[in-house]
Amino acid sequence: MRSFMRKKGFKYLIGIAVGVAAPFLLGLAGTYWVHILVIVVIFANVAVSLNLIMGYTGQINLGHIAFFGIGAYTTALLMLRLDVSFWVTLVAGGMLAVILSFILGYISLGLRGIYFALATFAFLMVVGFLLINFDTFTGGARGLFGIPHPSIGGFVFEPTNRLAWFYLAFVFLLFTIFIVDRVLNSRVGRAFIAIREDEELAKSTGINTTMYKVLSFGVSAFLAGVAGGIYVAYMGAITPADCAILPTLLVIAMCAIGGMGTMLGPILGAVVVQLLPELLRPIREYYYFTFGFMIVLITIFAPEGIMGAITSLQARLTARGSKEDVRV
Amino acid sequence: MGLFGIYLANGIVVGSAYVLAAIGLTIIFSIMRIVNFAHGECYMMGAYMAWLVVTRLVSNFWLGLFLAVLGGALMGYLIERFAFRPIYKTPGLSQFIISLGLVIMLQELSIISFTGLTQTMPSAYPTVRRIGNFVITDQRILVVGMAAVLVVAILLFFKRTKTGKAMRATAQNKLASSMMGINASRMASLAFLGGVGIAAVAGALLAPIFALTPTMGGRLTGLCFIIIVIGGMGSIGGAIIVGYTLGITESLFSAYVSTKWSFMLVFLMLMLILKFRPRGLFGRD
Repeated sequence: MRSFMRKKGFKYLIGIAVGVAAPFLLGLAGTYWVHILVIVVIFANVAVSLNLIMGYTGQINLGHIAFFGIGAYTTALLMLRLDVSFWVTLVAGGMLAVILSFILGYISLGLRGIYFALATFAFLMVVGFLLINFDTFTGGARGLFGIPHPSIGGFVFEPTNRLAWFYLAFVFLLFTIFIVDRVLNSRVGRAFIAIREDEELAKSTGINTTMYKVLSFGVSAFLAGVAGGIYVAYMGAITPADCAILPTLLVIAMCAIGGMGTMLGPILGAVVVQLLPELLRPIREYYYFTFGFMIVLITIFAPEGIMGAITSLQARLTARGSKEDVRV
Repeated sequence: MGLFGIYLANGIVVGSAYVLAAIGLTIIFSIMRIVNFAHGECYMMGAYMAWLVVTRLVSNFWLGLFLAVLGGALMGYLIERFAFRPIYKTPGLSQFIISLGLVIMLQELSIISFTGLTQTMPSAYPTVRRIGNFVITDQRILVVGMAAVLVVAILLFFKRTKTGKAMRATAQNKLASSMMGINASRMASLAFLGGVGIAAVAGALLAPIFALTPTMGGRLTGLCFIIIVIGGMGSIGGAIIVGYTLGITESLFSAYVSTKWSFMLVFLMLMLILKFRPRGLFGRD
C-alpha cells in the first residue's frame, strides 16, 4: 500500500513538473500557444469532472456543458452587474450548478442507456433556451462581454498575462484531480464501480445507489461550474453557443479519445482535441473537416482511447499473460 | 379564420418535414440501436444538393429532388459502411463520438463546397391559390402531398414487401432474424441508406421554402429526437402522429402565444415524458 502511495505521489510530481514547464516550452513558439494551453487546461477540468460521471458510472451525460455554462454566466453576471469579487462568483457559480444538477438528477436518475442520454440532452437544450430567452438579463444569443479582470491582493489577472491564467487554471485542475481522486478512492468510488458493473446487485447489497448518483452529479457539476467561471473571466465573453451541443460532444470526445475511466485519459484527450485543429491550421479551409475526420478515425482504431491503446501496447510488448489480465 | 388556416397549413408543411426526418431517424435507431446526432446534417446536405442542382445545373425541381435522394442514400450507405460499421462491437459511447465527427465533417463539407452564406432556392411552383381569405402556394401543397405519399409508401414498404418485413424482423431480434437467414449487415446498410435518404428528401422538399445555412440541421436533430422519444423509440406510426402534431402546435403556439418559448417548452416536455413515461406515448416496452 505504501509503495502504491509513493508511486502515486511520484506520478503527481511528474504531472506538476510537466504542467509547470509546459507554458515555457510552448511559449517559445509564441504566446498564442500559451493561450491554447490555457483553454486546454480549462477544458481538461471539464473533461475530468465529466469523466467522474461517465467513466466510472458508464452513463452518457450530454448535459454536462450546461453546468459549465451556468457557472460561466453566474460569474459573468455577478461580476458585471453586482461587482462581486471573482473568487466569490466562482463558488457561487459552482453552487448554482450543484442545485441544477439536482434537477437533472431528479429527471434522469431512473433512466439508463439512450434514455439517460436523451434526458440529459433535453436538459442541455432547456438551459440553452433559458440563456437565450432571458435576453434582458443574459444578453440573449449575443451573450455577455466586457467582463472585468479579476484581481487578488493588487495583482490583476490581465487577459494578456497568459502565464498567470495558465497557472490559475492549472492549480484548479490539480484541485479537480484531487477531489475526483478522493471521491473515487473512497467508499463512494467503490460504490460507483459496483453500480456500473451491476446496479441491481449493488442495490441488493445495501448501497444507496440514488444517493451516490446524486452525489457524483453534484461534485462533477460543481467542478464544471467553477471551470466555466474561470473560462468566462479569461475570455471576457460568453455566448449560449459556448454551452450548446457542439462543445458537449467535444468534451465527450476528450474523455473517449483520452480513455474513459482513467484520470490521465481526459487530460490527454483535452490536449488532443484542442491542439489538433491548431496543428491542422496550415491546410486552411480543410482543417476543421480534417479534424472531424480524425475524430472518426481515432474512435474506430482506438475505441478505448489513448490510455486503452497504451495498455494494450504494453500488454503486447511484455507479452506475459493474456490481454484481459493486463487490462483488469 | 383565414389567418388561422394559414398558420395551420404552415404547421402541416413543417410537420411534413419533421415526420419524414423523424421516420428516417427512427428506422436507423430501431434496426441499429444507433442514435445518429448527424441526422440533421444529412437533412441539410439533402437541401444543399437540391439547391446545387436547381441553381447551378438545370433549373428543374424534380431533377433536384431526385438527385438529392440519390445523393442522400449514397451518403447514408457510406456513413454506415465506413463510420458506424467498425464500431458495432465497441461500447455505446463510440457512436456519439462518431456522430460528432460526422456533424463536423458534413457542416464543413457544406461550407467548403457551397460557401457558408445563407442561400435561397427559387420556388418552382410559386402560384398562389386563394380560397376565401385563405392563401397557400402550390409549392407548399406539393410538399404536403409528396410527404403524405412518401409516408404511405414507407408504411406499405414495411408492411407488404419482403425486404421491409426482413428489416422489421431485424429490429425485433437481430439474432433470431439472422438465424432465419436475414443478412443483418445488409439490413444495416439498407436502414442507413433509407434513413438518410428520407432525411435528404425532407431537406430537398423544404429547400424552396426556408433559407439554407450549414448549421440548419442542429435544430432538426433535436426535434427528431423529441418526436421519436414521444412517439416511442422505433415506432413509425408514433413518429407520424407526433411529427404532424409538433409541427402544427409549433406553428399555432408561435403565432398566438410566443415564438421564443415554444422550443424550450418542447424540450421541457421531452424531459417530463422521459421522467414519467420513458417508453413514449405510443411505444411498447
